[in-house]
Amino acid sequence: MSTVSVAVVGMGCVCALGSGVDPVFAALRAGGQRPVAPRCLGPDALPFPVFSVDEALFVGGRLRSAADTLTLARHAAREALAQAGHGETSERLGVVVGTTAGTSLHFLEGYATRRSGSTAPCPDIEGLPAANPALALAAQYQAVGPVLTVSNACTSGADAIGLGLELIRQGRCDRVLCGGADALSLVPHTGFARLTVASAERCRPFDVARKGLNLGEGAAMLVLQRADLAPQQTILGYVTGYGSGADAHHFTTPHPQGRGLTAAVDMALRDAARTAADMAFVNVHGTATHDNDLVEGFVVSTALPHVPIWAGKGATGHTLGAAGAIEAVLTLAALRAGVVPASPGFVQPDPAIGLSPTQCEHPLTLRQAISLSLGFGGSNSALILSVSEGGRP
Amino acid sequence: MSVAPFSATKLCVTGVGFAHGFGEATVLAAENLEPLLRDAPPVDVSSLVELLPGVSLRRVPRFARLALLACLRAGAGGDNLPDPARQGIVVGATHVGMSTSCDFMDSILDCGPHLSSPTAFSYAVNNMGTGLLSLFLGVRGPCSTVMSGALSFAAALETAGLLLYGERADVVWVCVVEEGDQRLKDTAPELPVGAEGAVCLAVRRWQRTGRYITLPQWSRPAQPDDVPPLTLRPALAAAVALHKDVSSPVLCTLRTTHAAQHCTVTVGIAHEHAAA
Repeated sequence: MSTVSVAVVGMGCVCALGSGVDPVFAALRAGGQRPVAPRCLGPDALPFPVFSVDEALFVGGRLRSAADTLTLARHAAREALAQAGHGETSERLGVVVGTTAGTSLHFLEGYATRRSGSTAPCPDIEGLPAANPALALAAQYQAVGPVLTVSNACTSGADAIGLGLELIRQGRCDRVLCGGADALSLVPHTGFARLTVASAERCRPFDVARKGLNLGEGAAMLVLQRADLAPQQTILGYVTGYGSGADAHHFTTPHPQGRGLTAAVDMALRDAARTAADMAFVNVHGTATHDNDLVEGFVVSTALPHVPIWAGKGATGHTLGAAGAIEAVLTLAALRAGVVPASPGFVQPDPAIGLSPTQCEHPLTLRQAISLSLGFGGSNSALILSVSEGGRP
Repeated sequence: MSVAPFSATKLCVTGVGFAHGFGEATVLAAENLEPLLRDAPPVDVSSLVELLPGVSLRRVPRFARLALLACLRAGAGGDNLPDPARQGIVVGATHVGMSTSCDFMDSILDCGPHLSSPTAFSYAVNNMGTGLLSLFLGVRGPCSTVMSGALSFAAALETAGLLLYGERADVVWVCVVEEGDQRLKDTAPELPVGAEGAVCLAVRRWQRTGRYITLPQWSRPAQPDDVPPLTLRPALAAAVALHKDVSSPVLCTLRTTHAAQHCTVTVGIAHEHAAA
């Protein structure tokens, strides 16, 4: 367990709920909105609704390439760094960004053009290297330090924050800009639909009638700094624990007893020197797929007994590489506000899970919370956020 | 004012594995790595059948086969290793799943979205290599894929260092992979892709003696680098250097620059026979 306290001195967020941490959290408390038809993905998109951001965020329109992910990452980074203030010119600044679409070979339009034998310029192909979010942000802010683009499927955002935590603890960086970003993309939208894990209606995390996920898009960033070096008035909260583990069970379905997620939760609690009883709530990954919610419910009931559950994807959608970061920001926002929001989309508990996420807003008395993420490839992560230094209750 | 320096913290290298079209002997004897990085034939991965007897590799994509071969040759899955929950994996790559990504896009274009291949999609995700390595090697500790372009090897080392010195793992399999797919070369020639291959380093916390590689020392470069940003270059150079049996303390210093980042990463490698 490290004795270095790591503070959050800046946050930024953009998603279907809005742009900016405060507007997003206010919209969440108001219940959010339903997903919409995937018109932003073009006429070939399968009819599964999505949680899309305000189109005005894409000045000049979507490019339908990895560049859209970078656009969202820039929005969140700008807000976070503006709040954190300027660092020293001698500062070692690390940039760690989780993403899936930002580095994937999803240039369907360009691929189709070139496959036909055309040699016409294809901006979605040509622009891929420059769209790498961590590299682009590091160049934009002239960061000198580790540049890590983390691509661990749906745990990318959480893992990016966890690695940012270690960069500060181990003295590798003075500050770290870390988080996640993913814009909607036709290729994964098609892929999740073909895997029959997408729902044609609003997703219902942990609900007995859940039918699958809704994809979403967005970005969230944190600026981390050693707490003893950060001006007290800039401290928004703390990252106190991180854990990760692999199932090594099956490539697309989680271990039936959540072996990897349990290990991640245990590691995060040990890392923070806390117990389950110290957690104000658990933000579940809660994709509303049959398998994820069943396994995650099992782990929560055994590793985090009696901890209130908040499931947020009924308001944001599943934002893939951004999910762990958006949910970390919303978890910290909830702790700062002293309330855990209701869980949009949840109506009726599943007896097979035996747990119910929040159905209305509750006041909080404890000062830390844990956020879970699971991903393809058996990836599992847990982050503990706190509004008290050292995670003291 | 210059940026405060980054420490050259050491990682102990306890295993090195290659998967390369020219074979290990040619790679180790090479004085000039450029032909190996550009003109190598496809890698022969057939020996995986002997290395993993009784294991079906039927659906394992080529990217994962390259990574698996390099990791097994570096000692993964062998004896005298920490508990699987104390082993980690970090895969560094500019692109992951070239062939499976093309497979999925082909299926969308040829069959329509309604009939596109879900299997191809699931094996086109960016952490496909890491996930399959974890599955086949039984590794249950922290596993990450880092895709930082030409800086991917440096990023992978940095990540491994964080896991080891954060006491989250006791050994990390650091694997850098470049996959070859003719469809991608034909349709996207503007993407810098070299000859295919994979390198794996088994790294642990430094224990005062033995072969080592330092964590990257990030800095601002004095001028842009003209060297094409091939992902495998620094990893291959590091792995070749680690095999040399010489007494000089420094085997080589590697510099990697990513033009868009305007940053130089320096990796120092040395043998050290006496206690530090």
